[in-house]
Amino acid sequence: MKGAGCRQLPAAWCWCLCWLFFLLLLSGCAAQKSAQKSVIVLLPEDGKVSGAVTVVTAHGSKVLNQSWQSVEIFGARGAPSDPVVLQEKAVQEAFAPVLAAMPVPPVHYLLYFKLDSGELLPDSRLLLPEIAEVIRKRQPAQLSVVGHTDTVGSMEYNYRLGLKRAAAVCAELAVLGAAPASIETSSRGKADPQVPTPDQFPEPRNRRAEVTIR
Amino acid sequence: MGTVIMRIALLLFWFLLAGAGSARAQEVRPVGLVKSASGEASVLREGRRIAALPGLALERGDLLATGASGTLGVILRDDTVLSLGPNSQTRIERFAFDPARGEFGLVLRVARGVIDYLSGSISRLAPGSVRIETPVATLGIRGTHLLARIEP
Repeated sequence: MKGAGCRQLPAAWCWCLCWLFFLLLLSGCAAQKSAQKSVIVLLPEDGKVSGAVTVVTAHGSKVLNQSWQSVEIFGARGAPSDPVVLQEKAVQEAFAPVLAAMPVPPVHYLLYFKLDSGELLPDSRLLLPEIAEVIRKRQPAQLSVVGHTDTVGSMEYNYRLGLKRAAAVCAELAVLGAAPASIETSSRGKADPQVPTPDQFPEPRNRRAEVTIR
Repeated sequence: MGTVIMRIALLLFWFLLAGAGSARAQEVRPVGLVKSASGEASVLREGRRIAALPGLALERGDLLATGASGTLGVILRDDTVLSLGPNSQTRIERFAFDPARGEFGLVLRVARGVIDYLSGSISRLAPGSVRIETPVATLGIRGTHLLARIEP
């Protein structure tokens, strides 16, 4: 009975139904397209997580604070999913290109100086060939040297002493053949001691230069 | 009277000079450099497209962009390390790293695509001043390493 009724539907109605079906399909596609999936994953540094990420959307927020923990967000206005811990291998496969493109993190050295001088202490001088080698291997490398002093003397005097120390390190590295793509020297004078001391206090550990190779 | 005007004029002159000097210093100081690039990788700066070759100095406001086969690796001046996967766009919206004045802040805006972020000194010295903004969510970062795939 039903089948016969359906067959008797006017052609116009059939067309209407067809269009309705087509429109439904279209809207389904559109909905799926707008429901793209975004993913945020927290990674360990040196085997452990040292911080946290708070993921905030218009519809709620979630905190990630464990290695390989992740949230998903569907579409442009979704709420973050409950955090789940992913398999390390799955993350490495899903994010292979971006992980491969990650530069090696910068390398740091601390060099120490004689009292009131731009001359390096013998132990620190021994590190210079290694630093020059790191620069050679990391081309294009950016070298940054920040000079520091102890608290003996005025701010102005120590600012200049810090600059002198930074420049001395760059000059010695140049002699060893290091040719970074760019060099940045600066001084913090006595404003940023490694070991806090009273003013006018001779502290060898504060007579230093911080070397960063990026 | 004349000397007072002279002094004011001199003071104004110094202010202008100092202002111009600091503005110039901020402009030219790079915020980082391109360490590696593959495939289609470029930097959009003030409407110009610059090929993102290793060694290129980056400025605040730069938009890092990759094509379907491109990747890009950069290091910022505070030691933040970043990489972009294919089909990705990230702008260095804000970068302040001035330990002498205690000014710190980093805002990256990921329009779409994939990013690997490893925090540097800004995050360590001023927790709470680092943010990754995306069309789907804002990520508040406290000294860490993360991956994000953003598909708005």
